[in-house]
Amino acid sequence: MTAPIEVETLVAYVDGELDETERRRVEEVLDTDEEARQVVRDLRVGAAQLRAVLDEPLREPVPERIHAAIDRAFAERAGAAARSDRRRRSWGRRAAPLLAASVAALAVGLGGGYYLGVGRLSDRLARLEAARLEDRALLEQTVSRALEKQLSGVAVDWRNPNSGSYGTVTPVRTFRNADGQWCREYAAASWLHDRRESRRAIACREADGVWRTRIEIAGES
Amino acid sequence: MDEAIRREMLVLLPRLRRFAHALTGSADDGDDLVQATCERAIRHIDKWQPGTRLDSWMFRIARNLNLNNLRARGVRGEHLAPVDAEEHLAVDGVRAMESQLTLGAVRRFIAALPEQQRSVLLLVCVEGLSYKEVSAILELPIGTVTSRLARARITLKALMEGGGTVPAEAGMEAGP
Repeated sequence: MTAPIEVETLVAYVDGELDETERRRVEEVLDTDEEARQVVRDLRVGAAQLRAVLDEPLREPVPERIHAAIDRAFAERAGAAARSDRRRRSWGRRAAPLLAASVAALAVGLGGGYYLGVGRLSDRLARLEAARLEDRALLEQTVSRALEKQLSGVAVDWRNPNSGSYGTVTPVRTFRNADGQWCREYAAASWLHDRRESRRAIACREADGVWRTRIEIAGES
Repeated sequence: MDEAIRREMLVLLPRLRRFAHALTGSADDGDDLVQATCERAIRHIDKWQPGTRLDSWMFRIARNLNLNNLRARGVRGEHLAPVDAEEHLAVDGVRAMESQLTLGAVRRFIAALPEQQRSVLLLVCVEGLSYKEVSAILELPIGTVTSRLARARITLKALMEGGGTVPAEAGMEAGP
């Protein structure tokens, strides 16, 4: 029997923080030690559940007051820059302080307006991008779940209420490859907000329990 | 320049909220923390080095602001809690685990963790940062990050095995 592995090492292993040599050593132990395997599984499940429970803020819009505070802070910054710019220029030309003041006021006003305008646009872009990333993450999570748990021929669904995207992942067949790893062919169909995407691929289960897609046959999109 | 930073900041707002909500244990306090973090980040944006990660930098601001709040409110033990007892946690007596954690159980668990374990756990397990990034954010040696993380994750594991009750001996401290 191999020496027991400290939990700290298993934690670092699960987080992908071990170097090549250490990782190999842990994997050798995992091959024979059912308890250590169980700990690794528990750690993974624990982290996944933690994420699942805490993910709520990712699915709801950021409150308006935070956007307003950001707008304000950037506008203040722009205003401060305009004021110091004016100070520098007025060193050379002392004339027309009134004019300079009104120019500065205009700059502050324009600055604020500029940020407000662009703010809303980039806000939308940011939300689109966040929703796209979520779709991607949900799809990959569903692939892992389907390959790990689902019988061939039975679809697993996913849906992102935030983007309206949804899809199914269906394991097609299961086999062992030349390295002795379990591999599964699967079909994934996704209805993303602006297009349909389908994928047919083969993934194999690595020693760390992660299903890694090896061969991808891009479908019609 | 400002516009690029602003865009990056907006993209990471949902993650910053997730972190702040979990760190403070409340949606309202979390949003206050996010707002204060953004304001501070924008005021001090010249201290951020372009090319480095904006998320790490903002997580660090959020965490430090929260720590200041805790201290100001007189939450004792946050700083002095002996969370780093370096006992060796050998693998033993592991039972099968199939329970689904409820939202409430996880919230209670996170709230009960000492801040020093909570921040490490959230940054690694939820935000997916590397130990190195977390060690830079929290200004801690990597070994300390590793041991705090292990403590927190073992408590979480025990919580799941116990079907939602936190074992008393697992390094928790009673709240004030």
